[in-house]
Amino acid sequence: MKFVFKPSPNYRDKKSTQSIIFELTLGLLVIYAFGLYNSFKLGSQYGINAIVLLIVSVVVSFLSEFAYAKLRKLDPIQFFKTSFPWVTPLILVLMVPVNTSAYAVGASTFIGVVFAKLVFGGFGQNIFNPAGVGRALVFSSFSSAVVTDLVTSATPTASFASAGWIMQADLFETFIAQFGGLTNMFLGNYPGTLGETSALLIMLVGIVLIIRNVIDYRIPLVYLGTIFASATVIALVRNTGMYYPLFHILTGGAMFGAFFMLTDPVTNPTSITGRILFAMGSGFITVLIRVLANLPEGVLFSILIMNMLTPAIDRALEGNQIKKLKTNMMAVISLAVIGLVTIGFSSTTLEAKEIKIAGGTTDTSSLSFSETMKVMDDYAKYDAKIVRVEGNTYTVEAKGYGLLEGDASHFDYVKNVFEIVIEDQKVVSVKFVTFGDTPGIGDKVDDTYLSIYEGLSLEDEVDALSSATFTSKSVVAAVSLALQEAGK
Amino acid sequence: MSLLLGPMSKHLPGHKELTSHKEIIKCKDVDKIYIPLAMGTALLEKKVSEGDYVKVGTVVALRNDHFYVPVFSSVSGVVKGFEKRMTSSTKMAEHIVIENDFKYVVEDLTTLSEDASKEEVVNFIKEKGIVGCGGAGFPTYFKFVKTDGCQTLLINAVECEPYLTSDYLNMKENLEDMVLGIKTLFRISGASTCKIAIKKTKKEFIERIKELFKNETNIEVVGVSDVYPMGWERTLVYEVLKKRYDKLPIEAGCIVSNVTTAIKTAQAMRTGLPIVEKIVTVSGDGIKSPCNVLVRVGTPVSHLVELCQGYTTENIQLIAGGPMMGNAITNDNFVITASDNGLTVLKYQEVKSMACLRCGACVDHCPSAIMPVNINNAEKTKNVDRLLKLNVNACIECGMCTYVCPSKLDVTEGVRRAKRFLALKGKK
Repeated sequence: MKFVFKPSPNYRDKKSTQSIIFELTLGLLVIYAFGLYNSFKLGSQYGINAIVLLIVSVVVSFLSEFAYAKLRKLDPIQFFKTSFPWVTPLILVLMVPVNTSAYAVGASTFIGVVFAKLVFGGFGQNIFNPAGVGRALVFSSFSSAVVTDLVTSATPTASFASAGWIMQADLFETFIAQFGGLTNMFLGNYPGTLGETSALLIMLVGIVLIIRNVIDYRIPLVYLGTIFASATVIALVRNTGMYYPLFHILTGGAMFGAFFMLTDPVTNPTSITGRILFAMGSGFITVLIRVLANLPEGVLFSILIMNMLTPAIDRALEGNQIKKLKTNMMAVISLAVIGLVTIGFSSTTLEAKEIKIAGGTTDTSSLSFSETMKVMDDYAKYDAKIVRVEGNTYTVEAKGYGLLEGDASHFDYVKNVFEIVIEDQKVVSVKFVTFGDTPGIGDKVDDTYLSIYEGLSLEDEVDALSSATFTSKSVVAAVSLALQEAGK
Repeated sequence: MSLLLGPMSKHLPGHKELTSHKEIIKCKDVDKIYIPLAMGTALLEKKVSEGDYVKVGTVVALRNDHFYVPVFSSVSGVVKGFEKRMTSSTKMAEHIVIENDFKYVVEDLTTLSEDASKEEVVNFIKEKGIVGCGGAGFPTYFKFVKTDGCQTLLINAVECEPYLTSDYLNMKENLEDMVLGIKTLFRISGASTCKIAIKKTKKEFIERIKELFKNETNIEVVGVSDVYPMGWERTLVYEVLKKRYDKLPIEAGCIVSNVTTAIKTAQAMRTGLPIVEKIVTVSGDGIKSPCNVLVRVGTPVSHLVELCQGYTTENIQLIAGGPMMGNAITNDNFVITASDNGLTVLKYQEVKSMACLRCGACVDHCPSAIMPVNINNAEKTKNVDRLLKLNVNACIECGMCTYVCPSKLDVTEGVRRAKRFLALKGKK
């Protein structure tokens, strides 16, 4: 008989760090699955890229941790069991756009895992959220790695940022319509990152994790509440309408950050008041970065900034939590008041910028038209030629009518090159690549005019621009050819 | 305000069903009983010497520091001498060895009538050495000496330690004594109301107790949440009265007393006998037949284990008390004292700990609202000022922080080290 001595208590909860991470992993996988489904809906090359990204990231993370374990002369398998190398890549991949290149994700995984986690001593010791650091790196160093194309480029956040983070309610309706409205943003069916788009799904998974005691409900509640309250203040000061706070919490990965980034126990404070201050501070910084710094990634950088403050918050709040209840309450209230007042003042400096809304009803009322052209007509005179076809993007050149430089008596034909995107035998967009027409005449044909081609098919008619009829015909010739090519 | 405070408690799997529906078995009387000359950390004065003949109820030792607690023989026989043994609080202490003559000659004992005055009752409780039966063994008389400002008497029948059912069975078996005991304590407390706290989950039992007190308008039964450490005074006072206090419950206008203590008081009043027998729960997955045992004070626990058909496996943890606050003891020769109420025998399972993930579960659940993880870190750097600021001495070593720690760290032990370190530095 052997009596084992261990100091009391000799009773342990079944819940372990391993089980917490396991449940978190399941939750993240559900969100990844939705991202994958969305990517395949965009096109199989996106879906495949989403899979490649995860594989690359996981492999890089495991290799980094393997090397670290070897360096420290630890058994790698045992080390993995308490280091959870799959979590950082999973979160990182969910935060990047689906068309990010694999090398960028691989590099940022490496930086995130090695420099934000392992150099601190591994799991539990890190100051910054490793995935957050990796993601910040993709943004600042590999911005070209995020291939922009029509399907995936315009995220609501980036578009709204280029509008100066302020927009009147009536314009917003048109603006948000290109992403299918706020409801669609809530559901997540719009271009964005792999895992951050569906607020509904993130909330559902988050609530399950809250019920399972994997994450503290206070963090998402306070964080989203802070963003909502701050945006409400801006909405009231600038009279933008109540869509504004809703847009703020639905966009830019705020939901994902609230439920999956800020809740990382390693990098947030240990006391409840600390976590509340942490989430609230992060909420204010998110909004401030968005409206003042015009960076779309307010969420990410606010989290990294607050990570940095975590040790200070922890130390400042040390003591008996009941005895300190009043001071703690005062700290929370003070931060809330200071934050809201700051946001209120800073919102007065916001200036709305003009933006072009893709796919929306651009204001074409200022245009005057000369004649109506049939798309099907013969425009052989304009000598349209297909230059290049990439997917559903057709690059077409057509003759324009230009004044040759320096000689007012001599006109000649010049080349206009267009990029025309076609889907389902309909024009999605027309853009100039090269414009050769007469300055002052042909350049009346601008983006506003080109927007009337959107949605056109071969059977339709379109108006030519008054006093730029020749250039208008050059456009319609190119569009006609592209549509015929697409119909083959 | 609770947005800023964690639950400060947690429901634990109680495993009470292992013993709660079983009959109490009487432990066979043993040849020799041992009375430790220690009570917790306090030492006792010997009142007998080798060769003396003692009866059941003879004072054999006395605690006479800032508390006065006589200790009695539970058998009649001859004092055979003194022996160093380990106590249930893991201290080595001298024990009085008494050889049982199996005659059970009882000392000439005084009883007390039900209508005795407050002073008489307090004095009686003091002379009978009644100590709190909740586990800590705090002398009962002391709570009732000064009762000014007491509005509520709280009878603690929560029994929040996992596995233990001795309070519950004691109540079930001694309903009349319980009624008398509670009424007596209520009377001497000078309180205007008496609340009996029982876990909400014991619905039928609550109804039964309510029935017993249906004519007493001032005595009510309160169902409290089935969480640990609901049996701790502060947690219980907050749950029932929504009041917090600094040092003693009387600051919140109440006195808290364990239900078994009330029963033992009533039994002493009726029979004149001090605590010579106890109902002790022997439970856990390390014992073949868990049950409650009626045993004479001073009996080595090996006899209780034998009665419960022995251990189930080779590597076990034998714990005096419940698994949360009880001490694991490395032999089964220690004896049952008046304040012991259970033995938990668990199969030993090795626990692998890993790095702290700073989740703050220990902070959220700490019933004292202190910060165990921060204390552990401050202890490692031996930072006295930081430890004082962290209010280390508010820790009651309930074990919650270790229990909830998902990284399986010995958090409570770290806090204990911090307390010892501060004590060493002369900081209380």
